[in-house]
Amino acid sequence: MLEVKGLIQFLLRRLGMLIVTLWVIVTLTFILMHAIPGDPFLQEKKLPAQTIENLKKFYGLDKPLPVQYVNYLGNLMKLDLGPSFKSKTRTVNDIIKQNFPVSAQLGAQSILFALITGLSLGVIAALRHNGTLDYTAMVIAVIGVSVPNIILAPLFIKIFAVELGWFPVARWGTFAHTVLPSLALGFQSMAVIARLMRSNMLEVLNQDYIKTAKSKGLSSAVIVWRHTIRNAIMPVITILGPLTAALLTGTFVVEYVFGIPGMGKYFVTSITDRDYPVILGTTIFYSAILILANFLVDFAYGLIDPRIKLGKGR
Amino acid sequence: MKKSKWLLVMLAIVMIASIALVGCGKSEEANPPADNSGQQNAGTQTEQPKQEEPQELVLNASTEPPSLNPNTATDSTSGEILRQVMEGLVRLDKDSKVVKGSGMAEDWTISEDGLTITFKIKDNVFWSNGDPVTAEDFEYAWKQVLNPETAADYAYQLFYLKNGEKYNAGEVSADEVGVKALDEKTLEVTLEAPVPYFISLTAFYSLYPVPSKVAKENPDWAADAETYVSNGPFKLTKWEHDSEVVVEKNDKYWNADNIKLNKITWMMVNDPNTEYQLFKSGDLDVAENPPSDLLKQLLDSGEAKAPNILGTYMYMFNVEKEPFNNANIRKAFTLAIDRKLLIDNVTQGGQVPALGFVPPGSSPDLGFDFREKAGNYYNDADVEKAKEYLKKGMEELGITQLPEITLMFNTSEGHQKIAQAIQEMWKKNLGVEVKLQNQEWKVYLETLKSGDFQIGRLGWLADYFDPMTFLDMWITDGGNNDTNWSNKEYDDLIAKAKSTDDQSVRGEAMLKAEKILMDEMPIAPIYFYTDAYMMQPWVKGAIRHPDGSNDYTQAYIEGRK
Repeated sequence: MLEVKGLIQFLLRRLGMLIVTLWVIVTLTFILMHAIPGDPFLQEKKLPAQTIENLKKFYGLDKPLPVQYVNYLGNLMKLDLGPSFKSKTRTVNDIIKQNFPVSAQLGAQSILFALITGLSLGVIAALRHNGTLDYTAMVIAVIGVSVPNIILAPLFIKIFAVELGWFPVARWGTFAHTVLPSLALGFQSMAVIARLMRSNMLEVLNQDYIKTAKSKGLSSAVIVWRHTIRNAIMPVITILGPLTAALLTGTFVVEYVFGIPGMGKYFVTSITDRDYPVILGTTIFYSAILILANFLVDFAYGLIDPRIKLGKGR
Repeated sequence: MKKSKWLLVMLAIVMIASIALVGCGKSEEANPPADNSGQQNAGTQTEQPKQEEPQELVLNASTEPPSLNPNTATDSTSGEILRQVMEGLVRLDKDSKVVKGSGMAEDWTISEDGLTITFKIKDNVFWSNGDPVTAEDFEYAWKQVLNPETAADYAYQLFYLKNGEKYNAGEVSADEVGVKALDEKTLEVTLEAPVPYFISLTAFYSLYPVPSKVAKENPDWAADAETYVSNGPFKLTKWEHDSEVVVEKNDKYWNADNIKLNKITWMMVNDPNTEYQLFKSGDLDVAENPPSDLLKQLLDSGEAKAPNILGTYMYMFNVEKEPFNNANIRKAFTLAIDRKLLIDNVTQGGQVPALGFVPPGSSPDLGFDFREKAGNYYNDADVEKAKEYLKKGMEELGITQLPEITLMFNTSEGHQKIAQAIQEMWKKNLGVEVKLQNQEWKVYLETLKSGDFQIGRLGWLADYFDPMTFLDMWITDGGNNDTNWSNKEYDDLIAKAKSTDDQSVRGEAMLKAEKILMDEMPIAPIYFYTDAYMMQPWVKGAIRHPDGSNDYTQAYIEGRK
């Protein structure tokens, strides 16, 4: 009974925090966005003043900033993120609805890849400390951390698509299209997880309770599974929240190189285009995902480590 | 002990493999489009079994087209697709010239004063939904562009119409705009002043018709392939945002018998290196952006071509900022640039050194080539003369040392390389130190507008096929004249050229105007643009206009490997 009550309290508190956090983010983004110089309708071939006036009226930019802000919040309550200035026939809701699933699929696959490969590499490296497998795993990890995906992605295309012909060069459609971008996107996270897992494993393996377990005659498999991995995995779970949010909402570079219809590019191009509704809409959406991911991570703590109670927290 | 560790390793491998397989199954279920396209291919082939090879073209739009509604489209990506699915009163031929009967108009008459043009629309022209194309469709479309509530960026493309600008400003009603459907097939157009190139302007997408019946019922008709209706050689059959646009032959098109392609697909791949790999692998028929680091090699080997297009790359001097308030100083900086060296070593795209402002080939209706007749106003890298001008200019300003000079450009690797090379040339040839400063695109535009610069980069591409598209931008207080330069005689000559449809009077006035511009030199022309591209050898009949637009309606595939 107490547990359920605690859980409800936890959820309510988190929901309240989510709304307050999002409001702060919207307000800050709104202010910053209007503070950067550059008019959304300024182009190389300048438009007549009258046309700019018409455009501003059309998009409600002719009103004073506080009015625009209140209007925006009003629409936001109705989950209406407004029209895109650049795409004349699409709204921000359309962009998220159509492009997010692609980024999400790509992100999910890359997290899966990063998690499984990263954890495996980390565990193997720790168990084979200072052995050949350890060095190999760590060389892969160092490459993953130090080579950015703007280099990795074209390299993958060159090797696996052009030279070997195993996968399509670019674009989106079948599972084969998703493999190279998922690898390119997940490689760095994989490396981070591998390194983190390895060092945690090594630390845990040196703890007294492991030695006790060994002396009690428990088999290594049991020790590794039940006592080592379970304890070593906590820091990995911690970074998983922001990592998931970042990967799910898409990345500019991987989508750009592979020509993928994801959402990542809108985070970047909306700012260079001064496409205000898209800047705000994608930021809010990204923030919501990030907050949600962090919430799930906190939830996962409780499941993995019973000592952490959800109801009572900081 | 050892055994169990190996067990763990094996387990990990099995886990990875199984997850990959699970992902595989799921994704294939979740992605039916690939299967669909296969069926479409098969369908097309069974419909036309006689055809030896599929008449299908794959192009790259690079990005999502922002609008496929002629009323609101403003960019080259949307323009390229619109050019294939829609058709205006005329369609330009392969030499970018107007041919009677090439588009929706069968014929037209121009009044003696050049102010009224009456178009007769063909009888056998239909929209893809079967409705006839009427004069009302044009009247509706043009008034929509000008309607202040549409807030169309390109409203000014129709300011040639009588009261067009006033209607856009909300000063007069739509009824007073100079476009009227006299009957179903007769369109009367009244202009503010004679515009000798007006007929060719009707080939531009802002002047395309829209299916007025459809648009009145559903203002969002152009947002989706399902509701899209077109009158051109192709109809829109698929628009997957940020992924691809597919058009297929429009059987209702008046000239459908002469359209050989069955299908055009535009992919949206923005990275030039990926585009190049797609082209090399044969997945792409035309690559519009050969990677800059390979360009020279590709041009030398003939794999890429770089025809001239109507555009000038230049630096602008702010004539209100010292020392560029002096014409001789401006001339010194212009003449000290070694354009050939720059093109051979930096841009490497086969551009043409600009020794005047208006690019060659911009005057198909003038009766002569403007650039050829005007000739060169200076020699490339004329260092001696540049030094003389600098000395003279400094004397005129009464200074012995130039103030600090900054050259500004928008952030891009290409602009940066050019700026660095020219900075070096000014240092070597004039002994002048110039600082470089780059700014993010919109910030840069704001800086130019506010006049807070000494030298700034600018590229200008033609809006239509006439030298006027280059010359009228430099009139006093012209919207795009960020140099603050003003010359009464120049303004008068431009006004004179705009007031007549007598090509010889226009030509002469524009030649004189360019001479004044080059004497005063508020700008330093650097090179005339080229438009590098790669096309597979099996693509035939594609038209590439010198304004950078492409027409694939006469294209076909022959000998695809």
